[in-house]
Amino acid sequence: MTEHSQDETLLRRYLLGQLSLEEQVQVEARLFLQDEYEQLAEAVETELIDDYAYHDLSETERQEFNDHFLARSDRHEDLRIARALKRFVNSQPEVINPLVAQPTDTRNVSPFPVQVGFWSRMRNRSPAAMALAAGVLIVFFVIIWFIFQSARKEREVPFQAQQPRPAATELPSREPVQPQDEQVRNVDKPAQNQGSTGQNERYRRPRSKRSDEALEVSTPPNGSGLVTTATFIIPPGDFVRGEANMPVVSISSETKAVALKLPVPENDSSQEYRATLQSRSQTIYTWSRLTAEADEEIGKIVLMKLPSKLLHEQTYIIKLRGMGNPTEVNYGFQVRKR
Amino acid sequence: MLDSGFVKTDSQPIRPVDRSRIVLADPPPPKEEWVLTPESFDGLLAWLDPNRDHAAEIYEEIRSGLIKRFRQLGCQDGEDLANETFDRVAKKLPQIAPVYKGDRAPYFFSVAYYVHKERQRKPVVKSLTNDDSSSEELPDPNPWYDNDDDDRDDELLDECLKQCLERLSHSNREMILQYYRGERNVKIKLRKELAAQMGIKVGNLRLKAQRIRVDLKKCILDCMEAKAST
Repeated sequence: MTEHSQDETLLRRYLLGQLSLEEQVQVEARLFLQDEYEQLAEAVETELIDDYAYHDLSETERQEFNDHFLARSDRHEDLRIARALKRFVNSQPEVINPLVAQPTDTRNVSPFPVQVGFWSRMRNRSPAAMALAAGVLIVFFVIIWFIFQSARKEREVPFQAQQPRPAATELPSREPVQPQDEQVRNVDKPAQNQGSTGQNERYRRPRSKRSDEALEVSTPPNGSGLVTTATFIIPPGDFVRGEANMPVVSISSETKAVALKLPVPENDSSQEYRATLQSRSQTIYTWSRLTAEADEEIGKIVLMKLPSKLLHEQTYIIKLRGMGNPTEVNYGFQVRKR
Repeated sequence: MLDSGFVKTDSQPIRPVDRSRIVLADPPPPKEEWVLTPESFDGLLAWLDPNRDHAAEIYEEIRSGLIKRFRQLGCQDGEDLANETFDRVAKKLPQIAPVYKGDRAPYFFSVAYYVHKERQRKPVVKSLTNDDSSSEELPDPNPWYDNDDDDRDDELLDECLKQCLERLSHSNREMILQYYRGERNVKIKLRKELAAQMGIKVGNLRLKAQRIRVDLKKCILDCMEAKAST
């Protein structure tokens, strides 16, 4: 048993009135003198209340809880809150933890949080209803597939991979309309502009070996909106000195989802990553169990996807940490809406 | 050397300049509030140590420790609270002395724990004044949980809980709902999984959940109070 768990056991016995006067005095003196010990006691107290609410106490402990612990009137309110929380949690449908939601397709992003009560609900349906639902789904997907294929043939727009990320030192400006100044590159621009000069130059990356390909678009011309995911590469850096060199994520009104590629060191052996999206020190969303993947242009990356409506015109920072790796890497960027 | 404010030989109460202590030579009748008398103070010193000088040193040591800690805890009136602590010990001494066998100093800190808790629970109405009535018990500011109308209160509580959960950040709300899902072994297993998903230890997860619970409780109490007053 660890020192910590010995403390917990002692505190639990204290709260249930199982200690001698001398032991009780020692505990209370520590509670007065040590902040951490008091925090631990609060956690143990909450757990004890939860155990009572969830009927996880033995009969003796339950009796001691009633006789001793609940003698303090303010603990009644804690117990009632614990019971209310239990009622609320039990009334909620089972939810897959969105912290582990991990998008896999760059063209589709699941909205948050990921509610998946569907299959558990379907289990209670009759086989006929299940078959009917399956049939409707198949017909629906076939129709969607035909629409997609016909639209694709008409427009013949290739979907191309984005280009390698320019180094941070090569990209000093945050202005999104100048291609040579961009650290992140928008890839949802109309294809009709590619290769020309003027306005479409913003999508070029002059130093790239594959500059023509690098500036290709992944949406059809005229904003038909078939592909609505914009992919950006966010280099590491928290830009604490200001926004001047912060990468710009430029989002059009047609962009439904944003994919962010976060380069990670090749020698980082982490199997899984945890990422937190923050703005003004407020956590907006957290992803867990993200995995690294190989990008043929950039190398090892972690890909994150999120709905564009989640992003507003402001600066953001993504804090990425490999599981088991204490080092946290920051990726700062700012959002511009077109 | 003992605090000079503690011992007074004439009958007129005198408040020391540092407001450390008043001892009444002529104690009020029993129905009045209990005050430290020279006899009870002597008894307190004797309990600390049979040697009076040594007892006085121990007393001063404990007192300065109490004042320092009360101030660390944000109590500006640390001296008053230390005095209150000694008063309570002296008052209980007849019952304690025969049964308590442990070290004396922790006993004072143990009593100070309750003094501080009570201070936290009730608003300070007359801080740093010379009016002793400030130590009178105040009505509980949140009496809703003593209401017998449980069903109505539960509805109100559920409503407030729901509101307060919605006010939490998305990640905190999801975390707390995951944390309290399941029972017994299932709950333990789910918590381990949740901690692994978040890349933290189960102990840290519990402290994080505890912090959210504290915020949640405060929000719920405020909500209940607001609804009760309308």
